[in-house]
Formats: sequence, structure tokens, C-alpha cells
Amino acid sequence: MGQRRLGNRLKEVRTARGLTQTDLAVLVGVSRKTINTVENAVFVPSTILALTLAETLGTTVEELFFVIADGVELSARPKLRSVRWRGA
Amino acid sequence: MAGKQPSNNDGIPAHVKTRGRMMRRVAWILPGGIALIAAATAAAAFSDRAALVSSMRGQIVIGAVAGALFVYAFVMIAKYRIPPTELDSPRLVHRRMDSNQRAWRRWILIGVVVMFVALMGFMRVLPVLRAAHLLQTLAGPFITGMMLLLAFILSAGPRWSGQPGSTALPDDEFDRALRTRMMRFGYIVVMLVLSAVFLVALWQPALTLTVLIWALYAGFAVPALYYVIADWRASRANEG
Repeated sequence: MGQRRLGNRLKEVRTARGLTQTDLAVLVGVSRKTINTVENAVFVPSTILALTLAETLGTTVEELFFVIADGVELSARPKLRSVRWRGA
Repeated sequence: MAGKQPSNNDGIPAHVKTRGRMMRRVAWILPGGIALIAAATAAAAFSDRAALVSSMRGQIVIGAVAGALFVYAFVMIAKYRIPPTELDSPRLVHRRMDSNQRAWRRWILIGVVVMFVALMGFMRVLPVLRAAHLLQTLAGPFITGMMLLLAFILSAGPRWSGQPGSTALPDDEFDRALRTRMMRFGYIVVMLVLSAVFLVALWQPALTLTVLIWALYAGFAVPALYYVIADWRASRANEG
């Protein structure tokens, strides 16, 4: 498996809503530095923060965050393999 | 803006009552006052041994100045560690939160520099302190106490003091992650310097005390600088 990292559209979505990093930080309840580092993909936020960001910006986590594998953006909603229960 | 705006108050419960805030300030400043009295008394008591100046009055002045620095340090701690009052707006709380982090970073850096200068001075007067038996009774515990205090402040991070759940800063994810990284780095540093002290004790026992003092300093200063630099890099503006 190649190198995987987390990408995001946080800046895009935030500016579309007309919010500054400080505004978003106030709404979410973290420091501006946290928003800054998440936007620049320096820091991977926790699930709680990701959900809070999505809720605050009126979008979904899948819209905000995605996986980049070997430089290629992957869908955040991978197709689940159907697993058949074989029983005990 | 699409979606509903959540209440600002949900995320920032860092409020205390005005009266409670005043009491907390007094509580923080109190140790500074005690340190002031202790320093002045110690200076007067030891004016005949290892004196920095010849007269007792001069010694007391020096002790008082040193104590005043303690008072100032505790006033600053009180200023930046006590949450804003409930009268402050959420935006003000957040501005204070960012400025709190910046101030904390500055204080850590000052701590690193001041401790370095203090240790340089300490090393110079080490023979005098030893001769006057002040190393074990006064200087040693003082240096150790300062070092432990700085290490505690560093590990606690920039936060307001208060009841659990009443502070906003510990919930800042990036800061928490950075401190975890710093602790990991600090652990390696401490193990390295302790190993170095052990080797010095084996090969050059006479130098053990000197190396041990600097090892203590390194255990605080190197992780502190790691944190300050990483934090500064992360906070460089990219405001859009």
C-alpha cells in the first residue's frame, strides 16, 4: 500500500461561508492555530473535531476530508465489500 | 451561510465569576509574596557568608529584588492562568485564548534563557557556595525547585487554571497533540542526558555534579525549545 494522508477542503468551504480562521475557531471552540494546521494538512484532527467542523460549516465530514493515496484523491466513501456470514 | 450557526457559548465554557477571579488572583500572588519574604530573610541571614555585597542592607535589597521577581512571575501567572469572567464575550475569550498561548510561549522562552544565565552564574560561584555550605541548604534546592517548576509549567501547557471542565485551552487539539509530541521527544532527551551523566560519573567522577546540573537543564530546555519552535511554525499566519 502506498503512502496515504488526509486531504481537506476546509479552506475552500470556510471562505465560501465568508468566515475567517478566527471566526471558525470561535465557533468550533479551538484556537486559530488548530484551524490553521488542519487546513494546511499539518495536523490530523480527531473525529470529534472533524464532525464539529462539518456541523459548524453545514456540510458533511466526507465533503471536508478525503484520503490522498500516492498523490491521488480517494473517495471518502469506499465501497464496502459484501461479507457473507458463514456461521459457526 | 448554509446550515445553522451553533451557539458560541457551547464550545467556550471558560468563565468564572468576577469575585472568584479576584480570589484566585490573590491565591496566585500569595506564593510570590512568601518567596519575597523568604528571599529577603535568607539574604539577611546569610549576609556574613558568601555575600554578594558587603553590607547587610545591600544583601536585603538584593534579596528583595529577587523576591520581587517572584511576585512579578506569580502576577503574570495569575493574569494568564485565570479564565476570563462571565462578562466577557466569546470572541474576547478566544482572543485571550490565542494571546494566552502566545504569552505562554514567550514565558517558556524567557524561562529557558533566564535559567541558562542563572546556571552560568551558579557555576561561577559554585566553589564559594560549597565553601559556605550554601550549596546543599539554599542554592541546590532553589535551582532544583525552579527547574521542576519550569518543567511542570511546560508539561501543563498553556491553560487556565480552574475546575475540571471549566477551561477552554486544554480542549485545543493541536496544542495537546504538540505537547504529546514534545513529551515523547523530552523522554528521549532525558534518557540520553542521564546516560551521559552515568558515563561521566564512571570516567570523570569529579565532573559529575556539573554535568548533572546541565543535564537537568537540558531535560527542560531542549523539549521547551522543541515546543516553542514547532508552535511558532504552526502559528505562522495563513489567515484566509
